[in-house]
Amino acid sequence: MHNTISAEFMKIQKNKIFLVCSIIVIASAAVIVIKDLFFIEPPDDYQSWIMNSYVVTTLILGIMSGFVLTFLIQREYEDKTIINVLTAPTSRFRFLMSKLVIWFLWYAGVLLAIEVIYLIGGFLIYQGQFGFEGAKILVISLTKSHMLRFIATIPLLWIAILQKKIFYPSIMAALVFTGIEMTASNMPVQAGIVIPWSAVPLVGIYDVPFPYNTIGIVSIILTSIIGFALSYTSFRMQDQ
Amino acid sequence: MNNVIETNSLTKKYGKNTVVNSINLHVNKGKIYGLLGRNGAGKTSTMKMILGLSSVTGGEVKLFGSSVKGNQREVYTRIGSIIETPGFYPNLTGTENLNIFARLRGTTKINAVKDALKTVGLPYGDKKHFSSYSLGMKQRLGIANALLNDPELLILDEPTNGLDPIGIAELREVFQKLCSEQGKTILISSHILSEIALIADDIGIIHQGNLLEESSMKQLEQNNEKYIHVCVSSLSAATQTLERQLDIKNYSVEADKSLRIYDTHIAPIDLNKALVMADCGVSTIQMCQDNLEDYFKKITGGVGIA
Repeated sequence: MHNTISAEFMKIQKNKIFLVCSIIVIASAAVIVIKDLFFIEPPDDYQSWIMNSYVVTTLILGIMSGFVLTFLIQREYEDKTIINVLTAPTSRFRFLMSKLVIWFLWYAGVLLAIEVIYLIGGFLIYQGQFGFEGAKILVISLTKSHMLRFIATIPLLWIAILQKKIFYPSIMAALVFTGIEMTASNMPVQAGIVIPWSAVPLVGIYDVPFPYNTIGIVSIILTSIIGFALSYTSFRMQDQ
Repeated sequence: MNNVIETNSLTKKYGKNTVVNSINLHVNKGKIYGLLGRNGAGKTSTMKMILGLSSVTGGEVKLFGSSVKGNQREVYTRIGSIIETPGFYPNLTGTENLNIFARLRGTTKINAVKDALKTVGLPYGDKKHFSSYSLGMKQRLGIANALLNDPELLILDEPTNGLDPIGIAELREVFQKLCSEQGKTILISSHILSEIALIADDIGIIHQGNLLEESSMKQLEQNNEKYIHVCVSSLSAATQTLERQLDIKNYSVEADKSLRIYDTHIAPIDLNKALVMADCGVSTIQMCQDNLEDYFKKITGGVGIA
């Protein structure tokens, strides 16, 4: 497994997609901070500011994450490298796991960068107000919600496997998942908590009470397990 | 015989369409096996099933004497392959690409990448990206990748595609050396019969998914060598004349009761005279020789290789 993951890192060297997607996400966070610091009056309290930041991050990170995963899978089909990879030999399970690991590492790395930017922004914009409490709220809410979001979007892997060389179905699915997530606050909690992608902000940001939070987490985890199982099954049955 | 590859009734279907029909392939250790067939005959599909790239609808694949099921990792690390047009990462150099696959294979041999590139005549450590490679260079890189982990078995699907005649000749030498000096076994598919004729020890002819014939090249050459084809009225009289009077023992009786006389030192006119004088009517007498393409056409009943 170590060799497979190591090979994935070697594959993405000199790769522009990763760099561009990372820059877009990180730059969007920086733009929010700069805008609120110099150009537009920010909300009175930092909690509202954190909420606004979450919305922007959700949109940009959600879409870019879809691009990154699609690229990781689709290029192997497009370049026909999947034949050389599987005959190395690499088991289909290891292949999927290594893609998942790289996707997660990118996601976590970019999320960390965003949180650092927002922390700096919080301290600068809300001087004297933000403090340790604000930092704690920011880090916990962003980490919790975006990690849950990553888990909930694992079914994208299945779509990417099925689509092979085609690019757009998984991107469209990423857009749909992101759209559902962004409309969570407009849904009744009983409905929103069952749908995994709307459950993400309800559990991660709005902190719904028991039993809704448990139902939401179960929905998210089940979706990811089913998504990965479908990915593996489809990939195993797929002729190359 | 020590079979490195053995398939039993290997079958592949896509819906109602059978692309490989109950094939029984036998590739002997240390030999070069040429799998011949037209485009769409089922060569690549067969190779993909052997390599586990494609699921098997029916039958079994045995590699190195054991079934592949449950044994994949151990078996496939002993195989190097090139299937269809080789795929590599276009934004990386040849060396970088091979480093990736060496890492995937867990290759521990020092200079494995360098040696593999040297074998196929590609430079090591150059800056040219794979996307800028010519078709011939891409093919060579594919072969280098197949050789990376010093495999016991090579499965090569039309490896000389896109190569110029010199390149083809160079690779032919490489394959022959790998087999004769290092004892590797090679399964090579092609529709270029002349190339296979120069390199293969054994051949299999596949047509519309069916393995029509499996034979050694020696047997094939005997089948294809020059002969005098004779149709006679009395087989017994003819064979007696050949053996007692003309001292010819190297002949065969065909299913249609004609004779093939491989001792071609005798002139047909003298043969005709001897048979007629023995009261043996001769309806046909002619010098013949099948080449591999004629043989292939005969076997497949087709108009030749596509």
